[in-house]
Amino acid sequence: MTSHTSLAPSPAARQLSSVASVIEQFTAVDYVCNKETATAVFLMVQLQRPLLVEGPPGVGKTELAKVLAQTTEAQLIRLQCYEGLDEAKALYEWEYSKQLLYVQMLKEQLGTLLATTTSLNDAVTLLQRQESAFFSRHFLLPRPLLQAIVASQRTVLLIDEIDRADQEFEAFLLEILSDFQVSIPELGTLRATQRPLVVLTSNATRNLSEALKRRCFYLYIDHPTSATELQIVQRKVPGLDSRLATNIVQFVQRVRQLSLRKPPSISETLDWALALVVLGASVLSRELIVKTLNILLKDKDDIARALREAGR
Amino acid sequence: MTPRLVAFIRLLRTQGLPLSVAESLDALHSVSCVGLHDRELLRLTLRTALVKSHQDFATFDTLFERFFTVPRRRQRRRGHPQAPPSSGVGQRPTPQQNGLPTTPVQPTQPMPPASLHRPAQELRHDSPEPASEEATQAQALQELAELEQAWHEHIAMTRSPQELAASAHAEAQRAQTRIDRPFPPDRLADMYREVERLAARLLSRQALRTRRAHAGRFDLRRTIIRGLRSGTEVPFTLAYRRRKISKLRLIVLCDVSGSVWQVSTFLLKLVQTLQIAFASVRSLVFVHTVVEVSELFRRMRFPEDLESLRHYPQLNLFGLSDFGRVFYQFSQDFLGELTRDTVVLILGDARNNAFDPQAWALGEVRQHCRRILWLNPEPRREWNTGDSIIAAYAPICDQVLECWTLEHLAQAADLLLQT
Repeated sequence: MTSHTSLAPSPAARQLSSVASVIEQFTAVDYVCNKETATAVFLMVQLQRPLLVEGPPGVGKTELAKVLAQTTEAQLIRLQCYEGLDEAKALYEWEYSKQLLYVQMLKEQLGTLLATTTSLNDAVTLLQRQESAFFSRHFLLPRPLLQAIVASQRTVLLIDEIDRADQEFEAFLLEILSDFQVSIPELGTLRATQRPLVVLTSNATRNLSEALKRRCFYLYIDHPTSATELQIVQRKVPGLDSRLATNIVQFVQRVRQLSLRKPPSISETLDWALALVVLGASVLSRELIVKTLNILLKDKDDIARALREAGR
Repeated sequence: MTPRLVAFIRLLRTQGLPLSVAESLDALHSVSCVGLHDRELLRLTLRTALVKSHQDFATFDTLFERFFTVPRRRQRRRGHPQAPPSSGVGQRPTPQQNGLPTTPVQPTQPMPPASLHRPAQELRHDSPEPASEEATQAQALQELAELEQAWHEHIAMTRSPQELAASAHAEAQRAQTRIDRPFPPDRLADMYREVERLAARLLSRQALRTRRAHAGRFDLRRTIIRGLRSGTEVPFTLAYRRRKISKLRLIVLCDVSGSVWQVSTFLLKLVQTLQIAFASVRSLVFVHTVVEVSELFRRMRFPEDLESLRHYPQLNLFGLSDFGRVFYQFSQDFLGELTRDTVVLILGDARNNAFDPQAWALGEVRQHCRRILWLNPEPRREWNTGDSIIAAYAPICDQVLECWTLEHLAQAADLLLQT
């Protein structure tokens, strides 16, 4: 628990040395973040804690991890969670067929090796001595978690949509997150030479276990305020008329106030803005909204409601 | 930092935030990382480290506002012409303030350091302040280290067997909570969360079961046969003996008349959380007519959307329960839907208001489905008293259980998930 106090500041920690510098460096790569996000990122980097990011879909949770990797010049390793994800897919697997293939190919060599033995017992003993050749790193198939642990360079480990994985996987993840080491019976314990920065994202489709939450810092990213959204749209969509941008953002913000099944996310706002630029629009007319609203909203009833709102 | 932060954490706990010691330590480290010069930053820092659910943000922010308010007096003394904080002196519910003079000091006359008596000294680190002096920071860090030590001692002390026993007892108590009695509104949301947690636990058990069955057991015979067939002596492909577990289809038939309304909603919540464990879930509610609410149910929020369930078209909540009529209607309309993978779950007290039981209709249903599970929200001793005719239906059902505590609900759900 006190381990991180003794750690020397990592390069990432030195680079993102204050909340202001996080904001600055993230903005430089076109990720507009507010103070809450910056504080959370700053703390996770400084104290080397995993960061759990929750929020509605499409607000830039995954993007946050990508940007973090980009600014700290780390490799991004992504583990996409799904129902039924297990250790073999997340941590490591032995390449069984490759092992067998080698056995097949080395058959003759094995024959000569065993020729000297007289009894079956001797042969088995001799083979056992060679066993480690077949359970070495060559036959190990590292999956994202192990990749992050054994990586020689800096890494950001993104565990995406953790709420989709089963609860027992969560429990397994806890072990990894707490000490970043893996025991492989045949190889021994592999320990991370440097702790990866871990970002977990969740759409909050279910409640995560208290134990997992306890080990993480927590960040909730909500839909952005209109000022932030305007900034994002202007940064991400080049060639967008500023008045049109304002109109788009105002409209999207108004649409989010309606109780829709799926409120538009930032990524959808960006898609919509991009489409309007491609269409060469300069003002947001009702006609234009009717034609292109399906880019912003993906539900029949939602579109109908938003159009009624737009009529007003 | 001072015991003030510890007091704050304790306060958050009393407000129902589940804070662990590890989290408190995290908070302390975080604060030492960002320093104390920026109040907004302090708020965000503490929130990042302590609050793990955005539903609790509002609670946290309110408490922070009340707890860490910089008194006007000190700000003037330090000559920082900031806007006075919204909540003034006298609003802070802290013992430290008792020793403070409440009369403002002249802003032009800086207080000599000698006059900093102890309570004020403490306050200095309680609240964020301009950290122009290095000494303040260093001292704060020093105190932080001491505090950490204190925390470790505290941990060693509080993990007593009595305490553990007490928490186990509380857990058992909770399982015995009667769910057929009305709850105050603030408790109700908790109960739904409790039901959800229970369902989640069952789900993970179910997931494990499915996974084990899916992984299967190694089949030596078939592995060798396969190896021989492919002409290699070394068997390349392993064969497993897998048990096939197909997901069940569930039809919930729920009485929602006044007397059992609340238990019904808990059951619906439970089924909603469990629905990913089933191939399909259809939910029907009834008083004296069956109404399908599957569409609403799938994305229903508890307890917010209960009103829309109450006012569902064709559902007359003020009618008299008529199980006979309901089963007849169900057998007419849904017999074609039933398969050998369908489980029918019925919740009701079988108080039929002296109508015809029409048990034969339920018998018909039983012949077409895999299982019928009946949950009765009344204690067993009240069954078959008055107009309760559960005895007429019980022989037809595979299981009839009482269901008026969380524990009963858990047992029922466990049975439900078994194939």
